[in-house]
Amino acid sequence: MEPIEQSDKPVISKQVDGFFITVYEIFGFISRFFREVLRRPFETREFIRQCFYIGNRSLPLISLTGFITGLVFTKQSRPSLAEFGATSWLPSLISIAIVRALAPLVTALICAGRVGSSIGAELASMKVTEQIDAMEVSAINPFKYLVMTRVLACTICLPLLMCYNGLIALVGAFVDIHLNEQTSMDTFIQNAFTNISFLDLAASLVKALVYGFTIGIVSCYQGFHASQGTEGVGKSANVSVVVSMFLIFIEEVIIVQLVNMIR
Amino acid sequence: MKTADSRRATTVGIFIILGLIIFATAILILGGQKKAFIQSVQIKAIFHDVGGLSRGNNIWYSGVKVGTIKKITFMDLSRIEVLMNIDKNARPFIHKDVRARISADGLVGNKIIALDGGTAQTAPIEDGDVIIVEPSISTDEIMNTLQVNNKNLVAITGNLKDIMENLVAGKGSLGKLMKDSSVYEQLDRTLAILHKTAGNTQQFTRDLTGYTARLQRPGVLANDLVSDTVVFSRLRNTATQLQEVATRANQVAHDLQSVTTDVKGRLNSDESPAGVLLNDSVTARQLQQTIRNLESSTGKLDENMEAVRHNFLFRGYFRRQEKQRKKEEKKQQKELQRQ
Repeated sequence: MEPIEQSDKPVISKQVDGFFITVYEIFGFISRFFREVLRRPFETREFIRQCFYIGNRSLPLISLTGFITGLVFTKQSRPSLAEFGATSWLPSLISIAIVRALAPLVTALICAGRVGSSIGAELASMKVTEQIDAMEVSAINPFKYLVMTRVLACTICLPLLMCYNGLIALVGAFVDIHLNEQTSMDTFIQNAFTNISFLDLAASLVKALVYGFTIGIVSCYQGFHASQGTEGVGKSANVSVVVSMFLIFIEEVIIVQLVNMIR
Repeated sequence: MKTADSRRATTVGIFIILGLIIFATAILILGGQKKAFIQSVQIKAIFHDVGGLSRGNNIWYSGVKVGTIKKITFMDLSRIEVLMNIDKNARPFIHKDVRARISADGLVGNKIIALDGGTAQTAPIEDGDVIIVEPSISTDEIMNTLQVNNKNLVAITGNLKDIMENLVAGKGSLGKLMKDSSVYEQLDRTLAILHKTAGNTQQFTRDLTGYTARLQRPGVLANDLVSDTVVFSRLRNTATQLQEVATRANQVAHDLQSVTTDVKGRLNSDESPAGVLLNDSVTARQLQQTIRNLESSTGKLDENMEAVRHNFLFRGYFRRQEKQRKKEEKKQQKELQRQ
């Protein structure tokens, strides 16, 4: 970021200017991503490596979180439904909650924490140690190699992780329901999918894609524009997570409103 | 390095494929439930009120899900056309005269269209058919009825409150009964009398039962009267005869009355012999004289008869008679001794 020359401006004005400049730079970063996404060369190997780190390495954490989410949510929902004698609605309730909201949101938050901080810190350390500048000098497009691969990996892996998370959460819910209500697997599946529509699945998929893209782009941006030496690395990792999570919640609200308009 | 890369790529590939399989499975299960991947027949029904039915809601035929709502469109001010996708496999069992009504899949469940009825005489449904709609009671109507019930309940509880207040205040018959001890004592006495009466009634009933049992015993007159047709017939004959006798007695009494009147007339008359005897004083004096003459004649005749007995001409006759009499007396005595 270029230093602001008008030093005689009030502090608030400087901050407002800084905010708009940051917004401009972010949109420039995003537009550069879309400009270069279909241009050769494709860094396939790096993309697969990133998929491995973002997707496969996140799988145990996502599975554990999903299982606990399903199990705990079922346990917490049971007393309320039991008051009406409607515990048979648990599969339906849990599946709606998981498919429509929990699976994409929990996956995104976990990834924002794990992947976002990782990308932010990695790129920031590369930036402050001038590795990115060195790549540019050696005729490697650092944007394509570092940003494109990570953002694409995040965007693709997050929906897949969401599917795993949803499945494992449903397994967790089934375990609890089976132990308490002795519901069979067939009945559970039938009831779970009764109140879910294709729109719900599509909306979750879109959410996961958007969240993945957000995590990737925010983390890469923060890492790519890190400064102030090693301090900047930690700050970049921290800001990546915070901004990613904040944006995920904002996007959640917007997407839910849009889906409800279509529904 | 290359081996590590290839292993990593394989792992990523497996990860991606598994994720896609999970997603595809979800779509397939959902598609199976929503009957999205089946061949279907489209039929229509026209409702005045769909009661919150929406696209994708289920269609049940005899409690089995056979399709989903495809589209809901307004036809005019009060008519709504509902387009339904019906599973082609269920088509042979759903006939053209089937009736559609708006229902719910539970007490607070989703709205559905329930198909009922249909006869084998009509053909199965075909694409584009418009089926008959059966009016159904909406939740609003149920709530309106409940509202009326609530109002009635409020009125009833109000009345009950008044009654209870009166009771507590000791007003009215029940209130007095609860508060006034004299009424209670009176009631207690009445109850005691009633109790006694009930005992008497019980005894009476027992007696009556015994009496009835005796009446029902075969051979008893009452039982014969009721059950024996011969006795009853005889009684009827007797009654008939009695009636005849009474008729005759009546006739006789009438005759006697006329005779008595006649006799009375004649007795009062001087022309008949009895009338003369009863009413004529001259004849009475003559009769008295005649009786006196007869008395003196009888006395003289007795004297003559005594003289005849001592006459030798008749003495033998009287002796024979005396002997005969004595002989019969002896005979009688002997018979008595034998006995």
